[in-house]
Amino acid sequence: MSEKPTNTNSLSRRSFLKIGGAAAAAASLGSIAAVSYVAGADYDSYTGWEDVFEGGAQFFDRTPFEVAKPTYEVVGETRRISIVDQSFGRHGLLRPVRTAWVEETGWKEADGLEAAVEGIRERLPEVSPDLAEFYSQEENAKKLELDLLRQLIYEPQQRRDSAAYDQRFELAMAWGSAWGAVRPASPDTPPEEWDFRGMRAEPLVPKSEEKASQLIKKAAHTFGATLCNIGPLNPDWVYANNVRGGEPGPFDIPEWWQTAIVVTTPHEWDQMYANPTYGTSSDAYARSSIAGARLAAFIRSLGYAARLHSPNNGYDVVVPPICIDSGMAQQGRFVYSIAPELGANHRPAVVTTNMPLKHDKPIDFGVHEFCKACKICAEQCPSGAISFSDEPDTVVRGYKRWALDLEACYNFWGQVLGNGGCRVCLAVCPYSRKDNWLHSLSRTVSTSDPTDLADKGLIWMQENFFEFPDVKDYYPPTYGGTNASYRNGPEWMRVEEYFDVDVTW
Amino acid sequence: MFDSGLIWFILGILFVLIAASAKVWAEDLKLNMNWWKWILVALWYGLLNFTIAVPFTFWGENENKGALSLLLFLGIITIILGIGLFSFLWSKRAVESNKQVTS
Repeated sequence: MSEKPTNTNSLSRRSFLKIGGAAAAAASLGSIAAVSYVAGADYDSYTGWEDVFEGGAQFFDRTPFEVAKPTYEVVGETRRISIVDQSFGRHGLLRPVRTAWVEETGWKEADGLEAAVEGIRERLPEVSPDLAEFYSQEENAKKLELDLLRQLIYEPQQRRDSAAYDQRFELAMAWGSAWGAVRPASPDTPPEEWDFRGMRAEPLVPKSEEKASQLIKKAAHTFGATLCNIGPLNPDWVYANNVRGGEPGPFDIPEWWQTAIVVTTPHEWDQMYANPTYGTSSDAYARSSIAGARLAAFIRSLGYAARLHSPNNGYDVVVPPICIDSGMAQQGRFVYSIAPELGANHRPAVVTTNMPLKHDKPIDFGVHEFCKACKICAEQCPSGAISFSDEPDTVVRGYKRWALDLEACYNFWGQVLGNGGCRVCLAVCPYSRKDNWLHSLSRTVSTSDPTDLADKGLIWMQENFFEFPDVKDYYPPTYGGTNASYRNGPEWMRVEEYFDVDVTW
Repeated sequence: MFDSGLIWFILGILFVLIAASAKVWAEDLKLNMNWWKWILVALWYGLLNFTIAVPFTFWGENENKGALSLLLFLGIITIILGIGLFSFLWSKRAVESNKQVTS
């Protein structure tokens, strides 16, 4: 008689445990779903925007990936880059020549681009010998036509398209231009003056180069840099002519440009993901430029020469290869640099100095192998500027790399609407992902798998499970597109939600 | 709440309850569990959580198509493996029962 109630209680406890366990399983799965959703949406998952102000929230240990030499290949005679080699500089020189020629001749679109190409080609030797020589080289034969196609055909059409369609992006454009309101001064005196402004008369002598590097990195983070790396300055990365603040023409590299400190910051996440229209370059440009300007001033106050090269005050150096030399990043298929923490979503600035600093080693965390298998940026590039080749397929000034059709890239900027520029390659790059458990896991697996099977699996999933706009949709309707962005703009950038603006498309 | 440490404390309690409950379920179903069978069950439960966590993280990132695709992809794999695992455990139970009947 006395055992029966005991058995009943025992059975009851088992049933309770079974039912409770089943309920707990359901509750835990629900909680995992909620935790995961928050991990994906949380502002702290925006790379570089975590709750630690001074950088370092998304720490990546570079030590296992350090290599003795930078990961690019030298295959021929190298040389410094000329202003006319890159589109910005060349267009800057061409623009006044073109404007004067058009005013003088009264050229109209109906006269045809060919007439303008011939007329301006004849004019160039007397007004811009550098440009004339550049365009006369066999490999650059088509570039005058492409450059004038942008200036004479695309840009006027872009202004017409902007009047018709840019209402949707008014808020994004206002936000983008606001970032440029505060910017460091550009050099207006030669480097032998500019780089020494406000410098302490007697330099403070560091206890060691290593200690000095630690200090500089610490200071850079307090000034707003998300990442800071230090490397040597390869003379090939210094422009060959037109040093800022100096006389036009060739210049010798100042002897105090010995070390290059790179600081970088990412773009605001949602806008970066909504390239090319809602996104902008201005936010990260401004943050990196200002962090770099503060760092340069700090170094001069310690008694060493320092010069900022930044998006907002101009460059005398080419920055992406310095990111590679300093171990901050590796070069990707789209030629720009990919950092382990930020992927392609970052905009660097450089401070050149003679302060004795320990240099970081270059890194190889598998970008080259990954990019060989991944062609998403090339597939999504609106202008088709990015190479589809399995292996690096061109040599530029002696360095082998994947080809980038700069004219096609830059000409698309002259067509697309919104905030200016494109940056779709930054957004679609699989390395440009948020800082949460899922992408941290992917990064860890990708960088530690020697078989590349993980890379291939991740790329397969990216290509097959995720949404990509049709490439032509990135263009305005004039060119058959829909003004698409890679992802929708964030709610707070949709002008129609906040202002009485007639968005008709 | 779901981005705080408290949720992991609560989840820890739930996981302990689930583990204790699983032992009772296995006994009542006479699954004849041993250490490596428990490891298989734990791995499958980990996969189940992963299958939930991955798509919901992508939903949080506003990657709706990717989230749904991965829920289907991982969900099908998890269900197939779950059915396979349970069938295996059940078949072992049957073998053990038959042995007992035979003896």
